[in-house]
Amino acid sequence: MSSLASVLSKARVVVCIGGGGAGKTTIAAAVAMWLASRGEKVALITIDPAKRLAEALGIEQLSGQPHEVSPQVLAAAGVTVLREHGMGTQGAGAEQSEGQLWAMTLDVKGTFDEVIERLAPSEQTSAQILSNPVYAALSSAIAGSQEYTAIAKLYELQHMSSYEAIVLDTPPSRDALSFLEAPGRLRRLLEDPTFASLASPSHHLARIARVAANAMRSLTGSAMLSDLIAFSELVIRMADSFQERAEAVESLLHDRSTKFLLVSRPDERSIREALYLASKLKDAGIHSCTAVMNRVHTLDPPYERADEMTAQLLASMRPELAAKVAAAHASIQLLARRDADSMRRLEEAFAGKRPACLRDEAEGLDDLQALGAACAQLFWSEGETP
Amino acid sequence: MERATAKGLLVVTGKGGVGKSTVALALAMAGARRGMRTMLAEVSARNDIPTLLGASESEPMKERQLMEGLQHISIDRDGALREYLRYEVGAPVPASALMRSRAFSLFTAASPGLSELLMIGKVSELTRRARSARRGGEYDLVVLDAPATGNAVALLSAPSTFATIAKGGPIARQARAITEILKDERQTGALVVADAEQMAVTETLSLRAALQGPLGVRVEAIVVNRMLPSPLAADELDGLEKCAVKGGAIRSALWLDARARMQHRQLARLRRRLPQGASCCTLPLEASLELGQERERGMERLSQALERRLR
Repeated sequence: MSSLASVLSKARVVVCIGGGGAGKTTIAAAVAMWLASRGEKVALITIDPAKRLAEALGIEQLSGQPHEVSPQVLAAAGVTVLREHGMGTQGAGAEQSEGQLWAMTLDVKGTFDEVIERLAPSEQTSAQILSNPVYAALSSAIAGSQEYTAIAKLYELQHMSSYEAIVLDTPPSRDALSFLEAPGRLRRLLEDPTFASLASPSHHLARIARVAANAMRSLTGSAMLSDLIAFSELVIRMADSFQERAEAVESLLHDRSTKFLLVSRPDERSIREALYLASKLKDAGIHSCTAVMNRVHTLDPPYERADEMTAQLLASMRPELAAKVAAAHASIQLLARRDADSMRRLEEAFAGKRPACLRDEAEGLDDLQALGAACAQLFWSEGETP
Repeated sequence: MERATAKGLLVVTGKGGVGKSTVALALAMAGARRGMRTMLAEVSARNDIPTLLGASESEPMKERQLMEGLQHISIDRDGALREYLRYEVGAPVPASALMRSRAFSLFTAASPGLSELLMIGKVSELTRRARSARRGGEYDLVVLDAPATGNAVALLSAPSTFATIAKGGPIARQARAITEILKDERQTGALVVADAEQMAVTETLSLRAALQGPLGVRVEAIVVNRMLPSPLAADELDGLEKCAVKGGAIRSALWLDARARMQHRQLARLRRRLPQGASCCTLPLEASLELGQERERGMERLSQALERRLR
């Protein structure tokens, strides 16, 4: 078992964070596959704009509803979901359990609608909100919605279904941690007395709000202002329920069984972003975080000294080809040195914990076999078989 | 290159991690080299461009010189709102007072698309002709280093989204004006940056369709970034594969060759799926930028390559 495997073996929620292009989606899928191979019922929530993951997993279309990935498809990737556990608590003999992998994508609009329908005090209120133009734009337009959607989905899966583990691929956003901050922000908004004043004009704060309201009216027209106020009035009625959810997710994110994976590539910009995220996680009181470095180049053993190597090469091939080979080797050496340096910097930021690594595959990680190979690299030590 | 830089505004976007900021900077440097007074803008408080040249971050909302003929600005939402209130509309209350009001900030935070509209509005303001010296002077070319795919679409569709919801008032009028500028191919163009890899190619094709379709922004070119040189010839590859002992050097050469082959396959796939006449060019992998050494010289080389290859 690799060290990453021992970190994640008891996880109930795994959250993958990182900058755009780092490889979160691929790694989240590999983690979910591995957990399923351990006999767990796993939900993978992913962002998959290009539908590559859906194709790789043999699912026609990833949607807001979970689809099961067939065991045959997983077996083709080298991952078996039928597992024998050690001694069962009920007595002697090994237990057999079947793992399952269910995959779904973050459907922003659908999830929001579901949350409203579930929390609204009446069907009428629910219908009013769903048809409010402010809500319509809010629920499908902006990046901020994806964060809240991820949270709502997480809450729903945790409380209302039988999944033993949930793997979440977070939305790429300017601040990859806004996902983490969303419950707190929502809670603070709902608790804000100014927000309450929108709904109850007799409140003494309404006078102050009126100045701002007048400014908004002159800037955006009165129709939008009324829509906003109507929307706020409706939301206030559900404030307690939203609050409860936000608090539940906040505490889930801080729970010991929730593990964070910070995914990064080894180039300068990615490392800078990863270091920034690592420090923000610490500030947020999250300590169960492991770094995963994607697309790493390593020095091929045995390391050959340049002049020895060139002499050997020149002896065995045409000079032009020897020159190309020498140049290629020099490039990889430089990349490997840079990557080793990046690993060290991440290791420092994570109190000496060495990041897990995924090799940069020449052909790129695109299909099911490659996902299986990623699984093997991350979770099984050298020489171990799954 | 002439046609691209004849526009007032060039939007550079693409999948996350493909090198958008690098290409945006290369493009802006090319504009400056041609004697155009160029502005390179980032939104959502991103401040990554100066570090590509080894310089310190810019102060938010301040136009700052990066090199001869090239200015940079980092636009954040609050700064864009403050400027808007101060210069663009007659707000009933002074801008500073409004910005301090919690109710106002709640309203503006809750208004869908308003943040994006304000930021793209500031970008649009930078492209204005006869811009006063007090506000920073006129620019011949504005390059926007836009966010990645999804966020870029949200940013560019904010004006029309907002114009639909807010039926009256000066912001709605402005939103409509900005929508027209974005849709006018004489004024606005887009560059989509991609890596020569499976996922990036697929996403590039759908992003191109989204930009030209519903958003009405003309895609000037697709730039495939970080291309390795041509793969080995068949007999060279054969020679290496037949080596009895494959030391580290030969393995490196085989690895790079496999990567180069994959890239060329993906590039061919992209070209096959693009409509006739769609412009697609490549940029070489610039080792100095990958390794973070000699950044200025590396950017200069990349910028010259981009200028040559954009037609």
